Amino acid sequence: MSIAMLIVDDSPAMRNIIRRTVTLSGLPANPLLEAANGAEALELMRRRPVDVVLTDINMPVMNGEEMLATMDADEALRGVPVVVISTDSTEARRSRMLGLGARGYIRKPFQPEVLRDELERVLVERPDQEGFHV
Amino acid sequence: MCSAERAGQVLDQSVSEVLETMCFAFPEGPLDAALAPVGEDAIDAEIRFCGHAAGAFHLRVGPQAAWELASSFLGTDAGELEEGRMVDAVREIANMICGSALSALEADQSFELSEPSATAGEFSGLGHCYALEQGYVEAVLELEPAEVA
Repeated sequence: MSIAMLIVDDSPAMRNIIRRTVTLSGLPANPLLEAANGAEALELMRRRPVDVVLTDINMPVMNGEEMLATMDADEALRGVPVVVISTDSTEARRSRMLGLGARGYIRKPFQPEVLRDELERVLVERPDQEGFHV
Repeated sequence: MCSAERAGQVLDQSVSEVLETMCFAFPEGPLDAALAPVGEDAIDAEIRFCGHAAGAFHLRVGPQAAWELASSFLGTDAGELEEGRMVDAVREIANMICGSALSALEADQSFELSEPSATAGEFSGLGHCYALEQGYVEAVLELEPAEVA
């Protein structure tokens, strides 16, 4: 079993860290795709399905909030679970992102096991349990 | 918003948390401001923020400490790192410290952060200097005047 995962962050350094953390966690992430902003992520998801998205909020071109709102309005993308990874750990932001449809929220800095646990929780709770997109 | 003392404590906690969690570095401080890295070799990052509080956060890291932090952050040998990736890593570290500090200071109010960039010109504010194994790092929280009692 493989999980098609998409990392969305404008910082190459942060994408690198998330990629490394996911790889070391032992989760069968394959492919592990990357996008530098919400617009790139949407374009990529419309070309090929993914099983889970890990996204930052503050990004140029299209931020994480706009991406979530666009996904929610798109029937094909509405069910894709999104986990937000952000430096903003305020309750106001967390509530707003969960209200927009995010399934999980991780604050930076994070321990590797926090990312793994959150991904496992979100993937288990997926409404579509028929299988993952390889 | 808060007292300067509270803001200083939060800054110390945020610097320690981010450097320990993401870089396995254990900063000592705050130390005498005279130890803060200066000169063209220092790597700096600036993030402007707005929300309930507005201002800017600056991180200035000595050259050796910058390579040390970046290589730990990225899980790469310092010798294999290009300068651009090192600078990007320092900026992301600054982004995390800034977000962590603002989240602690403004627990019930979200905020907006600018994209990290090189610091333009001089800056001043609540600054603390810390020692790392290979140099020093300075973190400065510059709040608009009405924000600090």
